[in-house]
Amino acid sequence: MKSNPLSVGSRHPKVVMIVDNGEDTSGAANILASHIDEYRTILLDDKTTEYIHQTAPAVILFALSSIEKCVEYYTFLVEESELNHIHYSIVLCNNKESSLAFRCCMKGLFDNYFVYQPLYERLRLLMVVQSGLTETQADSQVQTDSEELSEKIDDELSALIDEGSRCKQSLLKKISQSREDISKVPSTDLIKDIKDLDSPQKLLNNINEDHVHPLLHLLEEDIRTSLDKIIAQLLNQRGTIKESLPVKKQKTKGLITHVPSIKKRNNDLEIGPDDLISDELLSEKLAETEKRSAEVKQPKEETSLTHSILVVEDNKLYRDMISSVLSKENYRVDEAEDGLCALEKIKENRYDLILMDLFMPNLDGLNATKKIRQLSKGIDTPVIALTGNKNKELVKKWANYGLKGYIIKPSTKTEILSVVKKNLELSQEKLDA
Amino acid sequence: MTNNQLKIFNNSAMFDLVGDDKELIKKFQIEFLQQAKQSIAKLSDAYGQSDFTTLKEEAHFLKTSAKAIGAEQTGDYLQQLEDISELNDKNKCKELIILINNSIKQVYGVIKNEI
Repeated sequence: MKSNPLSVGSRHPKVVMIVDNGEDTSGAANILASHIDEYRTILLDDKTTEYIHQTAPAVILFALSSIEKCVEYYTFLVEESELNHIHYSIVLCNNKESSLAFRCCMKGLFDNYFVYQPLYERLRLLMVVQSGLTETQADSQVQTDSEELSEKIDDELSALIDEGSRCKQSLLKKISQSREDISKVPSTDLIKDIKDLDSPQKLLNNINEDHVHPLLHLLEEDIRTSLDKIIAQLLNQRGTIKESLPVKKQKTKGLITHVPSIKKRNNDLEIGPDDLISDELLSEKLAETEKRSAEVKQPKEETSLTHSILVVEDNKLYRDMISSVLSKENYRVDEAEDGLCALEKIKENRYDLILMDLFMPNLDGLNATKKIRQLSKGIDTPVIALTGNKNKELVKKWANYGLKGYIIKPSTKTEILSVVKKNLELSQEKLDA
Repeated sequence: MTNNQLKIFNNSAMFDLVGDDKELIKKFQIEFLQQAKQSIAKLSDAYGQSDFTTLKEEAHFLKTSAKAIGAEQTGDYLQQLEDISELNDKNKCKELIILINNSIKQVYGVIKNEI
C-alpha cells in the first residue's frame, strides 16, 4: 500500500481509495489493485488533499474509519474546491453503518456505497467501481480476464451472455439512431404537414405511418433474430446437458472453487502452499500407490448388486471413502457433489437410499431433501444425513424435513453399514406391506 | 477429549472406516495432503481479504476429511476456526490458521514416514 500521496510526476491513477487504517482495508485494496491497473491506495495525511486536486482521479473511494469522517473529508474537498473535476464518489463502510451510507447516497452526497467489513461481495466492489469509471467516461476499466472472474462459466452460458449483451447494445444503438433521425427532420416540414392535415386523427396516422411503424418493424426484426439465436442456443444446451450431468468437471462451492488460487496472500500471514509440501512429491506418491493398488486388486466377483445408493457429499475425498465402503459390500453406488447435482440424478435414476451431507454449497442437504420429497411422487426413498452435528434438537428438526436417520461424521465402517442396512430393511418392509 | 489428548495422526481412524486395505488407505492419505495444501492456500487468501464466510466454509470442508483420515488435532483446530469465523475475530483466525498449517505439516511427516 502506498502510505503517502504520489508525486505529480508519477502515474495519475484513475481510481484511488483514501484510508486512515491500512490493515482494515487491505482486503478491498488487494481486490482493486488486482483488477485495476491505474489504482492507488492513499493514506490520509496533510498531503492527500493536494494529491487529489492534482491527480483528479475519476473514481474516489472513501474508506475512513467511520462514515462521519468520510462525510467530513469529502465535504471539505468539495467546499475547498479541491474536487473541481467530474468524479464518482464511493463511501466504504462496515455493516453497522450501511444504513447511514445508504442515506448519504440517497441524499446525493456520495454516488454509491459498499460494505467492506465483512467483505462478502468482492465482485460487487469491482462492479461499483466499474460503474464509476463508465459514468465519468474514464479511459480505464476493471480487468475481467483474470482466472478469478472467468472461471466456472461454461461455454454455452458464456455464449448466451455474449448474445444477450450484443442484443442489448444493438437495441440501445437503434434507439439512439432513431432519436437522431427524428431530431434531423426540419421543423418546417412538420409545420407544413400540420397545415395540410384536416384533423388531429390524420396527423396521428401520418406520424404512425412515417415514423412509428418503421421503427417498430425494425425493432421487431431485431428482437426476432436475437430470440431465434437464443432459442437455438438453449436447445443446443439442453442437448448437451444430459451428457454433462454425470461428470461434473469442477467442484464449485458458491464462490469457492477447489483449484489452486491465484490470489495474493496477505503479507503478515506467512503461511501458504509453499510452506507445506511439494506437488511433485505428492503426485509421484499417489501415482505409485494407485499402480500398486491396481496390481493388488482381485478380479471382482460377479455377484448380483443388491441396492443402489446415492452419496451426496461436497468433499470428494470423504465421498470416495463412503463410496468405497459401500461398493465393497456390493451396493451400487452413485455420487453427487451437491444438492442440485443430486436432484438431477434423482430425476433420472431410482435409488433405494440416499446418504446426504447437510452443509453443502449450491443446495444444502435439508433443502435438497425437501425437494426430493416433492419429486418422489409417493416413493419414500430413505434419506440419511451425513453430519458432524450431534445436537438432538436439530435431529428432530431434520426429521420434519423427511430425513430418516443420520450418520455422524466421521463414522466407522460398521456404523455406516449398520445404519444403511437398517434403513434399507425398513424401506423394504414398507414396500412389502 | 481435550486438544492435548488428540492425536496428530490416529492410524486406526482409516482402518475403522475402510478396513484393512493398506493401498487404499495410502491413496486417501496422499489425497488428503493434496486437498489440505489447496485448502490452506484458500484459508490464507480468505484471511487476507477478511472473508469470514469463506473461512468458515473452507474450515468446514477440510474438517470432514481431516477427521476421517485421523488427523485429530487438525480436525479440532478446523472446528475451532469454523466457530470463530462466525465471530469475525481476525486475530484468532490467524492464530488458528497457523496452528492448522503446523498440524498438517506434522501429519505430513507421519504419513511420509509410513509410505
